[in-house]
Amino acid sequence: MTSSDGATTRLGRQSRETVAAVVLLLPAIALLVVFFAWPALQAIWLGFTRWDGFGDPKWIGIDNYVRMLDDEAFQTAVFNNLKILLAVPIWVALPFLVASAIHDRVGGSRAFRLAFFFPAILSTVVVGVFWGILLRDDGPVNEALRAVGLGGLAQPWLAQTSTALPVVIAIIIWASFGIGVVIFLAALGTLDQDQLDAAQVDGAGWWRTQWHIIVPEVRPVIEFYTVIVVITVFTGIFPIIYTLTAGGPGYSTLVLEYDIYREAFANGSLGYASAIGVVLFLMVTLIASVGIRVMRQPAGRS
Amino acid sequence: MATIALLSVLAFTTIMPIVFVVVTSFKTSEDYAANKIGLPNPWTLDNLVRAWERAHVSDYAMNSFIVVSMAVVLIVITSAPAGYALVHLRFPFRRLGLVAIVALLLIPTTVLMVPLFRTVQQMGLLNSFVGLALVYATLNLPFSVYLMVAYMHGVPREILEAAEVDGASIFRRFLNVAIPLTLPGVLTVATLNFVWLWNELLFALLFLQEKSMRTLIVGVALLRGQHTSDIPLVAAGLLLSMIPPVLVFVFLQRSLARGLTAGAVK
Repeated sequence: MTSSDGATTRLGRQSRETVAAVVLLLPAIALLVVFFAWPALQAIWLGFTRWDGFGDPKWIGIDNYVRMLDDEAFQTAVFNNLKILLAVPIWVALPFLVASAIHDRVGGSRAFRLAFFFPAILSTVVVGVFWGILLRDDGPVNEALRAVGLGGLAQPWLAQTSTALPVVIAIIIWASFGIGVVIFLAALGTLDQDQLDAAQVDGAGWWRTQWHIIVPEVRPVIEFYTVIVVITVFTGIFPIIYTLTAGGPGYSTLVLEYDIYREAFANGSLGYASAIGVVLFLMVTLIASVGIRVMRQPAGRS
Repeated sequence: MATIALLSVLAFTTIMPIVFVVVTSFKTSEDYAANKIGLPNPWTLDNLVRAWERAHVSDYAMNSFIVVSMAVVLIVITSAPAGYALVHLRFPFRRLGLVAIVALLLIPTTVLMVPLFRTVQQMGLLNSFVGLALVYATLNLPFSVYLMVAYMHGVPREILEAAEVDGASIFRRFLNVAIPLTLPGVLTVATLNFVWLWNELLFALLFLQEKSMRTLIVGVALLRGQHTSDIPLVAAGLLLSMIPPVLVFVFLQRSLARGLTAGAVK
């Protein structure tokens, strides 16, 4: 009697909790299904259709994927994304070194921290628009160069193919490295200061200490930040491109994100744009998983 | 010493462009043409007034405020109960729910631009604040639920059990015990989302195409520094659009730091 009583109350409690969980989770699940999971599945289907955004999408098989093979814009966008990917080591190392320097011994570290974090508060749109102003042919950067006698260096930074992409990359790093500094400072704060001091006493120089003691200690944080940066390369720079260069001059700063937007909403090829989205997703997944594996390897060996 | 010098140079490059925007927004056009780097001569409030009124900054800011507030409220009232259920209730597929949240976190939202456009269009929600708010809330939901799960872990099980012994129902325990204890976390979720969404460009551009419905950031983006002539006006628009997120960060910095560390500890 008592045991079956206990069983029913336990069962009652279990099912009560299940009902409550459903009620509490339902709003979130409803939103995620309608505006996230369902569109994500639709993206795959739309990639096999021709659709102008108004009528019904028309199934055309793999035509969109065949079209990529001789689409110069798409291919340039892929290469540009890969070129930006090459900047990831700087993108990660810069905030790490700055955080280390601040953590070490610098006076006014609070002021530095604030100064570096400030661009990260700003919208990337704001960042794009004002760097666009600063780097105009007749803008203050060129003006300042001429004023200090370096007029030879003045140039149309964003309007010529040779400098546009490197400048865009530099601006993206500029806008985000403050976040990296804050993340790495938090990680450095958890390190054992005695061990670091011991290394200093043993005569290990600053760079050696960084490389042999600090980097291995904060490795998980470095990996985490690297993954964030890689994802940003593929999915976080649309506003910068939109406000700074619109992918130009030519296709020199065109990236996949912007190419999707361009194909869908400027060229009216929403099906094709969706297929490019699928490729973008596969690239991010592939590169992120390969990257994680590569980063993990030496740690396993040592 | 060399380190301080290097850091100072770096700090100069992060601060100078912003100083430039602030200073330029107080210059007259003629002054800017002749004097791009120096201080304004004379100082003028004309650009700020013109940006606020004629460049529609006031209207666009109102649009942004409406959309972002709706989205943030939606996020809070959906992510907090979800976080509570995922941590403190026992039910089938609970683990799967946690895994699904992380999996959704990894899907780049730009990939969803075309299918989401179709979904919103089919629901007749193009050019509607509600449509964009629903999309915003959903796209940021995986991260928000993820954070709320971390905060809910910080609510001691004993307190919830004590409340249960006192006869509090599951919903009472959630509302009267868990929510007050995770308030810094809820505030963090709200703040981060407010700032992100205030600054969002792509989906605002796609879903609010009506000129009168633009968000502030879309209005600013369309100024595109490369092709405009009235730079001080653009600078004034930039300055005004920076104010809300900066204010939010300044006022909520302390509770934000508390919220983030509370989440990190568990």
